Amino acid sequence: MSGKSVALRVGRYRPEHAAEPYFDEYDVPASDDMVVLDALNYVKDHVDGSLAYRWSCRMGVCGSCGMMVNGVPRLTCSTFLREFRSEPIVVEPLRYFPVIRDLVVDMTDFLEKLRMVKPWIIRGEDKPVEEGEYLQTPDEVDRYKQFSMCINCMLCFSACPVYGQDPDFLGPAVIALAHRYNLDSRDQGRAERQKVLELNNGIWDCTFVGECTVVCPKDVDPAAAIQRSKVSTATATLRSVVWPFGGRE
Amino acid sequence: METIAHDIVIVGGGAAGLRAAIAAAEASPTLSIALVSKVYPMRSHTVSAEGGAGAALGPDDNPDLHAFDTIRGSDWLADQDAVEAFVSEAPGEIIRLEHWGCPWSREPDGRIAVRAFGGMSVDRTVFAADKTGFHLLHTLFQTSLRYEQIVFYDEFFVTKLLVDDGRCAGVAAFDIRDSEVRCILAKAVILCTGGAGRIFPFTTNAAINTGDGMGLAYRAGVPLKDMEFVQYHPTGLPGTGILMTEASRGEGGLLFNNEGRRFLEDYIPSKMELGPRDILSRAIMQEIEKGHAFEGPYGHYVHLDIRHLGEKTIDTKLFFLRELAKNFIGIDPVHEPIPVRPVVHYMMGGVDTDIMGRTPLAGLYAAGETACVSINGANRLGSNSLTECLVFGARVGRQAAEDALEALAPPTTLLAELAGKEQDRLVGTYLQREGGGERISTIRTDLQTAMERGAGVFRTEESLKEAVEAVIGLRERYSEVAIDDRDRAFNTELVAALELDNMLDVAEAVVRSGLERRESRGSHTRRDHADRDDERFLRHSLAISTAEGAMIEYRDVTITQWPPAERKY
Amino acid sequence: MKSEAPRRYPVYVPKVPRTWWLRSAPFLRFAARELTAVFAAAFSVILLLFLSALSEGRDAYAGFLRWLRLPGIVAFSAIILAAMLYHAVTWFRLTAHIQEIRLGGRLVPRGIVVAALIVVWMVVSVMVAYLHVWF
Repeated sequence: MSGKSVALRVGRYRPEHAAEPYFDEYDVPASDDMVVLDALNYVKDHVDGSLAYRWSCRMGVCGSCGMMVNGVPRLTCSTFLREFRSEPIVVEPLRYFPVIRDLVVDMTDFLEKLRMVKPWIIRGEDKPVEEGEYLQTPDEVDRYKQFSMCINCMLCFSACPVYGQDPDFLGPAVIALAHRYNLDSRDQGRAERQKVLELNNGIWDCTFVGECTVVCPKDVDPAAAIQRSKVSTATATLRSVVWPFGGRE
Repeated sequence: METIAHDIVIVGGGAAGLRAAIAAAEASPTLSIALVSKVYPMRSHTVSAEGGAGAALGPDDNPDLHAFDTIRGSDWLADQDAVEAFVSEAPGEIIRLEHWGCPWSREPDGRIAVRAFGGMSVDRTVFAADKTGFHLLHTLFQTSLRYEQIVFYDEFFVTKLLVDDGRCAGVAAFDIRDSEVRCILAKAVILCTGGAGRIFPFTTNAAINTGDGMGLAYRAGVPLKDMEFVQYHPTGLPGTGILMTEASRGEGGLLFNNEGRRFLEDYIPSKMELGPRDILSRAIMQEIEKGHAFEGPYGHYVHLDIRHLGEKTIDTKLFFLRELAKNFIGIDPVHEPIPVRPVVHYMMGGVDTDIMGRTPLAGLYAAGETACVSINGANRLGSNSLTECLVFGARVGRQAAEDALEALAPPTTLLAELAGKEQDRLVGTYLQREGGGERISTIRTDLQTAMERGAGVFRTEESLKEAVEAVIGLRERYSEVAIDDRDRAFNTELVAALELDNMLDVAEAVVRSGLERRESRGSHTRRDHADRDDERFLRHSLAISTAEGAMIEYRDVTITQWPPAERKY
Repeated sequence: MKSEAPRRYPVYVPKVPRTWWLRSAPFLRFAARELTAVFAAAFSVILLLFLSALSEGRDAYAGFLRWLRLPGIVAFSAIILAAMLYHAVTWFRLTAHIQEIRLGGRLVPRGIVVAALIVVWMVVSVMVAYLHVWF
């Protein structure tokens, strides 16, 4: 990819003009350190101002710029043009989400599901601020740290065929965040979250395809979070059957 | 005209906005709070902050010391009553965030850890590895989801503050998904829209930092305070401007010029790499001028070397920095030094507020980078901003809640009419406009070039005058702007046009204030007035919108315990 | 996250094709992995037939062994073996994902866990094969 320009094939959807999505082709001057987002910005600034997409931080931490690049969910701010050996580079909106416009998808579903799993510290009693922090050793932080790295970019949803077939599935990022709080030593809300995770469209919908973990740009490993939730749920249920006395927290 | 009534409307969903929303919700369960943000809250620029949040938590620390460091860092332009409130509430806010689940990095015994940071005399910067802003924002956002009374208006863009009879009583905002303006009424409106780094070409700031709240307040007649003070972060990547956190220096990183010298010896030998940002940025620019810098495709740079920290420390404390350097410039800081140069990072100036976040316009408040209280004065110390968002976000939330519980309902019909006029303006000026030939991107790029040239690290009377002329010229060109996109569904070009409008207002305030301040103080450096002049300029500048452009007035700084002294390190 | 303003925008909902699993290599590998369950079931059936033949006496058992040696059945058995190898390796890799193993406080890398599982599997297979062949 050391040529002077690169061809882009970009998914468009303009409901006021056409009922179906279509593609537009653009030629963009390219350099070795350009990312796909830079190419889209070039198109918008100089060629076609009507191209709509989300972006913000351009450093892979805000999660806005997720799109399908050559059929794989990627953060376009961190996807270098030099990676691609063939042209055109195909950019489409994230798969399995309703498309609002061009490369912009509807995120309402994700946010509703996020709220359902109560992603906050749940405690019976909170100690007053004057008494200082809850002690948490570095090891205790490590237990959940990885799962707290989720930037809500939703690439994992686009990689999940279960979500594609069944939009009611809670989804990898949502379950990973629930798991993050379950593992936090300060939290006491596992039982409350369990009620949501155990539902039909919760953890048991997952068939461990594992693609969510592969596409995650932050190494959250949502697949591991889901399977470990299955293990802990199953053992807890088994325990309560074998020894029904005594409540869990 | 669709009209929605809430008690409080918060514009902007970053750390300050979310903290204010939670504070208001906790103040009273009956309050209905609208959080109106042009992006989903977890995309707010708070997410990019890396280094940490400063607070006097430790046993060897005390708030007075934190206050002195902040005031000295501000080159005595900070209002000391505001700083006193800030430092005393800071530790409590850190603990409160911890209770809400923020994964602060810990000491082996489980207590919250602290690290050294620029300009701080004691290690007091609390951190979450080197993604403090990310963890802080996500903790606040996820905690805010608990409160049913907080209603989120995600991807709504506020175009105008609705003011009646000297009182701000709502906002006109359109849903980006359908470009229809709604009239959102409130008894209190809080601006938490962040900074405006995008008026410059090289910045750590995200695309969304276009000074929207500042523009809204300015056009409503509220003064913008201390706008000339723009902070350059000394260590950003050349080209992209991506931030290389100050924590790298807090952990022991060193800066070298092309002679292999730690050149800061010549500028601030007592603090070296942990000096305040304005001094370091000037030092690097001077090294560049002297020819002691490396040259690259994106200009000159110096080296930030953290190799001696070792892979283990880097992976524990500076993991994100390593990832950024590897991903974006292909350099592994474990083996190679990182090229860095000063890039625009923070606006010390902003909407004029008092220490409870109230602006001179009744019913309007502001907090976070959007506001200027001022605790940062002429130069902000690293790690004070995240804490500022928490402390003043909480204060303004509580104050707005108190005021909203007592306030009368706003005059619906009148305000709905104003909102209707906004809808007409959007359609007439942008969506259905005939003629006009200017592109947004050209005006924006020209603005950024003019700002860097005229109002960069080193300024002169001529350079600032040219910048003022340039901004006036760009304003005229803006009236000829025509957008390609005429659709109503998710029209990002319309948003970009409105953002550019705000950027032009903010830029004008910056250059005019800079021109009138004929002294050097903190981050405002005039080659033609190299000294600090307390007699004439121990004052905040106030940029006020008039028909002839910004008018600059002055207000004295509040001094309590720390009489102005020489800024020595 | 329902805002009080009703949403008034159209969306396009793309249809997910029935052949979604043919669209990419990772999905194809997933489908293959799931399909190995069919071959595991087939092997279980053969095992049941074996036990049934055993219980019916010498002639039935001899007949069963002849059936096993039919070229078609040998070919099918080879396919079952290949499927089971793929099944085992993929599930070992998945297991390494699910279960974090810590030795002395440090995390054992996934590659090592998978390698260890394969080694244990080989050892057990050798032992079972020995018993099979010599008895």
